[in-house]
Amino acid sequence: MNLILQIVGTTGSVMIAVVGLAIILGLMNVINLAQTGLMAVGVYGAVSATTLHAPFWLAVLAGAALAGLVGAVVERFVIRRLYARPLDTILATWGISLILVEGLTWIYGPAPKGLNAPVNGSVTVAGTSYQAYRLVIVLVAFAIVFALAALTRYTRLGLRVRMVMGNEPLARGVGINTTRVQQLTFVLGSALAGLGGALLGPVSAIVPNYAAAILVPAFLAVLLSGRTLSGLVLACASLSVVQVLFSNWANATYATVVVILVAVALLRVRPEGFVWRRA
Amino acid sequence: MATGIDIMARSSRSSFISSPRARRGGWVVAALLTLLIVDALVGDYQVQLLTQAFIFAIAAVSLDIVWGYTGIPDLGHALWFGLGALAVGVATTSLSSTGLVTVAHTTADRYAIGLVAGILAATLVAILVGRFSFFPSASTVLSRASQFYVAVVTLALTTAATTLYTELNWTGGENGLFGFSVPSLTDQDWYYITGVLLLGLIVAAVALVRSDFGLMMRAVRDNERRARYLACDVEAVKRQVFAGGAAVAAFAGALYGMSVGLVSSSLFSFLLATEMLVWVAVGGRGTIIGPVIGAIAMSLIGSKLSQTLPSQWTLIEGALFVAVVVFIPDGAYAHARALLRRRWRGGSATADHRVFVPEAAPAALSDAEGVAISVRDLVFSYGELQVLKGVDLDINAAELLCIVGPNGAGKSTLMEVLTDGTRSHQGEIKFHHELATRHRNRSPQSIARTGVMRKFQIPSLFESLTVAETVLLARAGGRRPSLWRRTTEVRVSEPVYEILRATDLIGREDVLASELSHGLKQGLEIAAAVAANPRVLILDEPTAGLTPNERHVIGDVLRRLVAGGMAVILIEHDLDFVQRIADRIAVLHHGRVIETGPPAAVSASPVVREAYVGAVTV
Repeated sequence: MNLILQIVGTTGSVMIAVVGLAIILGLMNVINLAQTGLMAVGVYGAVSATTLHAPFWLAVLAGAALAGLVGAVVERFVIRRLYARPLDTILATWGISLILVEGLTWIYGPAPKGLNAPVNGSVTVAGTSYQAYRLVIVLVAFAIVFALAALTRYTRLGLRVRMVMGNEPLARGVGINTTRVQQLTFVLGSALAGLGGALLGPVSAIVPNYAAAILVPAFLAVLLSGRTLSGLVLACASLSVVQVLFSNWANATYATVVVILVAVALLRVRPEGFVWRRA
Repeated sequence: MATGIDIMARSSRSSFISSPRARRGGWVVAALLTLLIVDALVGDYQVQLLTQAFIFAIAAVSLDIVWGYTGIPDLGHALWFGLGALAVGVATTSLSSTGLVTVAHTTADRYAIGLVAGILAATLVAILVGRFSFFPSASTVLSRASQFYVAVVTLALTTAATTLYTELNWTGGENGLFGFSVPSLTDQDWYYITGVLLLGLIVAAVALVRSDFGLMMRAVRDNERRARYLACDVEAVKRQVFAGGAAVAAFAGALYGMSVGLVSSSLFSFLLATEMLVWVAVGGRGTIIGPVIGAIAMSLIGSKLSQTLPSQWTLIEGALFVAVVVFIPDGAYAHARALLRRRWRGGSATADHRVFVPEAAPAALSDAEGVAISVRDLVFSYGELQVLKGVDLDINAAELLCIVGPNGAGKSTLMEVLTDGTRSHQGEIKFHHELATRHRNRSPQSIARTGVMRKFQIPSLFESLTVAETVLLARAGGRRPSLWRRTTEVRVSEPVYEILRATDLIGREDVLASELSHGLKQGLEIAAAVAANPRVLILDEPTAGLTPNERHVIGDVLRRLVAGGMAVILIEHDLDFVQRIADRIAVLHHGRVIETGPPAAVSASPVVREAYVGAVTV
């Protein structure tokens, strides 16, 4: 039971960390290595907001908004010029990540900060006690994924986003402001990264580089997702299973290495990830 | 006439400017002198920094060959560097009881073992990674995924290695291993050793990228798919370059270990790997000197600034990197060079040029009889859309077969399935020449190598290759060319020469394929396909964009090739042209061959009339 809870908890954390990355890759074909930088922006934004006595959830939203703002600037000056050069986007976004992390170090210093969770204590689920805030993360993670699924499937904006994703020149031809749609998508993805970063704040030591360790596993989870939200849930869950089981059996560091290797091997066999589209 | 004058002008110029070889020799001497002068001018500490910069420059050059020239996005190049340093460290140190590292053995053979083991380990791992990561794939979506896959693998491996490093005991864990620099060598010794090695590497790298193999590397980078259809073994080229790059980077890492005497997880890290990418990108990928300057300049400035303003330096480095990637993707050196060229010489100038040399047509094929390829009941679909619905067709040697049909009949798709055995289809395709019989699951390059060449409907060439280089690549027919020799006289058979002349490509040997007009590109495509001297030549709409005169010449050349035993398949809309040169016409309509026979019979056929006229009058 404890194991299952751990797996669910890890899945939630991973999902919340990668959903921004997944949106940007899935809807824009852009590999955004600035994800971890944006997460850091989100969490430091939240930390600053709480020092101004903002309540936790407001602070989290402030962090997300800040990351979204940064995303808007990045999109305007960098990403927009690189749509035709996918590899260069990887390099440029990594450069941006460096800039963000160093900028945060400059402003806040390298010493770890803390963020208080809105709920303390633990809850007992089926006889096992579990940190309450981690359950909150899981719930929020699923809420975000469902909201996004609904957004892309049922709204006009979602339709436009899917059109732009399917055939950008054609979408432009029928009168969709594709630049605006892509900008919105990137800002949304960045804001979600910031949100994820801020939400994970209470369960991590907050340093400017704090999400760096999860960059590669997150990136692999998104590639494995096959660019669908259901695939994303599945990818996060399966990598979490590997991570948790291996951590229990050996130790957490080896588990990370194993997760990376498993994901790489899976991608070799299924380059398009977990998708159930007809061949 | 024009060519005559041109040749005269060239020869007179080369008589008073020394030959390229002598000029390169001059550069090497100048570089050696610079080494001496700089040594005299700067102090011990700067000499140390320069040594490090030289070592990084060696790593940068190896990354440039892999990424800049061959287009393999190695995001974890630091892994190889780290392996080289670690091997030296492990070979020359041992752990004491307190866990700290002591220098245990400092004999020369220990260093030699470490050096060799590091290079071998990196090469071996790179070969395995290459085998695993480079794979051909049929659909374009997958081929994009597979191009990208190696980026994922290298990124993952460097992360995994960094994580693992701190956990392991024999690597020194979090502290790493230290204090194992070669005791008998001074800083100044290292300065000269690394300087001369760097220079040697530059000379070798320049020779490599200018060689015929270098040409193939650029072809793979520019247009992987097209290279496959010219029989180039894309995966083999990538594997070799990737492993070679890893070996050189490991060598650089070993030099670092031996001179600095330090190895830790940071030498494996993605951060160092990105720094290497920055040096190459800022200096100029696809040039050799650019990354060298980039690595030396940035690591010198970096070590200076990281003492005074450590956090700002990374910030500046990141900003510079982003700016370069966004605004001058060719890098500073290439950008500056292009600017200077424009100002001083006007127009682009390639260093030295290639010429076409006509030679006799190859001997007629001995077994030029009967069926070359037989197609039976071929069914093929794109997803739900069934394009070929049971095609039966024989392609005969020494015959010019024209395939005609309305748009959407499946003509190009049929050629696609014929030349790519990995596309899943039903029915049977059989090659009857002695080199190959199997078709199914055969990659395009393997099919091309058996002598089936294809000219694409839409010209698809290599943007950084010149006209002569494109033909040279096609002529190689997939055999691995020399790693250092540079062919400047491109021998082409007389039919190829005639095509080149008719389409006005003689005299444009050194023009980049990307700068050609559509008609010239068509001519080059046809010339390249014929230059490979195939058994089966597939030309998809070769005459689109050509003048009547050019068509005429090409028609004649094709007739002669057929007389020599070649099987030629032509997809064409120009029915007059078809009537004139075809031996046999096959009409494809709605995914089936509805009629085949000699031109006169087919044009009289009522079925064909119905198909065509029906399509026109709707």
